[in-house]
Amino acid sequence: MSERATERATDRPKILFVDDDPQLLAGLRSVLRADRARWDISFAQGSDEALAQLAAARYDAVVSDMRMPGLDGAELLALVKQRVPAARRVILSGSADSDDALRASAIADAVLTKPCPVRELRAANERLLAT
Amino acid sequence: MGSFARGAIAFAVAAWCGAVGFGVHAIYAYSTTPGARGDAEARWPAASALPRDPGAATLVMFVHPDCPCTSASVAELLEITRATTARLQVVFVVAPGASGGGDWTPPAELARSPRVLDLDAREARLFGAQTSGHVVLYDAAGRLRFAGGITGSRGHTGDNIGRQAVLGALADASNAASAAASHDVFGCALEDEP
Amino acid sequence: MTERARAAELLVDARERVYARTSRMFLGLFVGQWLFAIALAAVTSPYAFEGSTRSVHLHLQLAIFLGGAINVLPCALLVARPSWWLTRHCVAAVQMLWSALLIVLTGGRIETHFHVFGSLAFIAFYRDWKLLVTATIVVSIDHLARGVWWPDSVYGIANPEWWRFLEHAAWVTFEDVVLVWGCVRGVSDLRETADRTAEIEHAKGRVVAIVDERTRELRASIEQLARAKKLESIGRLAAGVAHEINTPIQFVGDSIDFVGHAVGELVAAASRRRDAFAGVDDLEFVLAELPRALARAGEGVERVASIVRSMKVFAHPDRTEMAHVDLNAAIESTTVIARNEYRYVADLELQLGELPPVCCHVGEINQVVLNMVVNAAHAIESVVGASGSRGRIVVATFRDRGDACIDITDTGAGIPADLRDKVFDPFFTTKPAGKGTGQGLAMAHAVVVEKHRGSLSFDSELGAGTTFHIRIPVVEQLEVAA
Repeated sequence: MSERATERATDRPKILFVDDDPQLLAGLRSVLRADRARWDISFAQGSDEALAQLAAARYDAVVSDMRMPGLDGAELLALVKQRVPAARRVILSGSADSDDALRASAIADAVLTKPCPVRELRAANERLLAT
Repeated sequence: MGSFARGAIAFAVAAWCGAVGFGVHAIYAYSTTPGARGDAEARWPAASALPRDPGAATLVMFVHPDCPCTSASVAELLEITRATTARLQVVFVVAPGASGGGDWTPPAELARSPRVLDLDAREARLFGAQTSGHVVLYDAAGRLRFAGGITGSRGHTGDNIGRQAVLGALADASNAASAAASHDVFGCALEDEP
Repeated sequence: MTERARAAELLVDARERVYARTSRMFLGLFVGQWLFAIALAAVTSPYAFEGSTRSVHLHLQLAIFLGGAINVLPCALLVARPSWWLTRHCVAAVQMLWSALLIVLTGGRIETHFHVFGSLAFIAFYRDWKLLVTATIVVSIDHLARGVWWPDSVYGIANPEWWRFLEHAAWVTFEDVVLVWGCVRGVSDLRETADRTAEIEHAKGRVVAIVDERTRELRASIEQLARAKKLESIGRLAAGVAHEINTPIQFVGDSIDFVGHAVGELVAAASRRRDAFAGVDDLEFVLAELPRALARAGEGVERVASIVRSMKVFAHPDRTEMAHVDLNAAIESTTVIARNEYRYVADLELQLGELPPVCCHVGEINQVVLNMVVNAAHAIESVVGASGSRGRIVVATFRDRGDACIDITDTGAGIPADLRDKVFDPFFTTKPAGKGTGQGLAMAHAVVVEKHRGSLSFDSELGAGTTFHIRIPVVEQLEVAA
């Protein structure tokens, strides 16, 4: 516990946001800029790019959209769980489909629905990264 | 139904009953009005030319050859001949009527009985017969036992007093003391009105 | 009409038919007998004689005229009223007169007497034993008349006819007894058939009624199914729309948020230098309006988001577990939240009765109650307007058998009859644009009826107000859809 705390003090938690929509990523980038001091935030457009980035660096949390071309959010997070078991997994989905919701809740530590006010997004990350 | 209609129907029914009653009364009155008859001799008239069997009773029936009522009288006579065990000579005296009388024949069972054509009504007067179906019965001794009709009404067959009387007289032939019976005769007149 | 009354009616019909049929037979018989009598008299006794003088025989005259006369009344009745009682009795009497007439015309032939017995049997075709009495009376009168005018056939010691008469009477009586029994049996057969027919008709009527009822039920369930299908397609549409709209709303919201902060910081930094906004036209307005415009944009996004959220209720069943909750407590807090909506136009009264814990999605039920209270407030507002007078909203809870019931009553305008079918349709609203989304009652229907298997209905009187009835089953442990 104390070991992790010192690690975090020297090294900000790394968070990866994944979405197929570059506009959404841009919006997040702009609004979360205020958090750059405490979090090291990266963005991946689509699951392929996300997998590449996951291979290149160690992330503490992955926040993914549900519906994406190629691997969808649930499949991506399943791979994350397999490769980086320590990473927190969050789904940020705009889907109203109940199957999606079910699959998301099975693999994710938290399920957030779009539109999600930025304060809720921050609160969820804070909560997950604190444990 | 209105009271007028009810009244009309009641009137119609009453009128109809009256008409039918009158008609029925007329037919019965006609049927039951006896024809005329005269008196017969108490003993066989010697003037008669009719055949007579001295050993048997002789029954003479006077008939109008055209009268439909006659057949009822002949039918009753047939009943008598069938019913009696006594020897009986039947003689038919046929009036000329409208057809002349020559063609008249009795039923087959009585075909052998003699028929006498009484053109001048001489025999009829001798025996007091004026109406078709008139019967006179004399016993073997030549005494009159019955005179009159042997049907109950005009042209009507069936049991009747006349037939019973004839049968009674035949059964009781030996009783010479008994008086001659008689009965109304129903049928057409043998002769024209004088 | 009762089965018994119908049976009685059918029996009357059947007897009428028998009467009419038998009457037709007698009409033919009377005409036939008349012609036969004329022919018979013409052949057997055309003339009577006085010596050589010929006259038409009375038999022939009677056959023509008396036969015609006795036929007139019954034939007229048979044509006019074939099943009337008088017709039938007249027929019975006349048929016996024909027997007498034919016996006379045949010279009393014993064979002709069979006509009497045949006639009695024919009369029995009417299946009315009283006619046999009439016929027998006529035969008796005939004999009596003969006794008076034709005493030979009845009286006379030496005459056996008197007991023959009794013998005839005995045979007639014998036949009468048999035929009366036959008539009574015949009528009881008709009655049995009528009873059975009435029974069958009654059963058929019941079947028709049942079919009608089933058809009504079927129609109702078809309508319900159609509504469910409509909601389902709306749901599918909502799901698609939600997905498409949610992502842009997310980044629009994020961007506005960012812009808001950024603008704030920029303005704060720039305002320290007097010339920073040199050249900007109408600077004061821009600086004042900028935060307001951003707030407006944020509020607009929030409003769109809330519409999409409420549409999502149709799209998929809520995954959250149902829980046993105290509905009264939930309603109390909901009405507190709704206070802002009604406090200027109405007073709200809670009449909370005893309720067991109800297994439900309390958030959704709260939303439903909130929608209803807001609707009630709007309904009252449309009546009282700015007049200053106030309406009344009553939220009552009570238990009715296995259901927890929530009644929400307002003293508003009421719902016009032509709109009552549509109030549960999504996107149906009578409120001015911007005030209602048209989702409230449709969402309430989806929540109460589809998710909680309860029922939602309302009574409304134009000008007096509306009561919505929400019923949620208490005992039924609802399964969460897997």
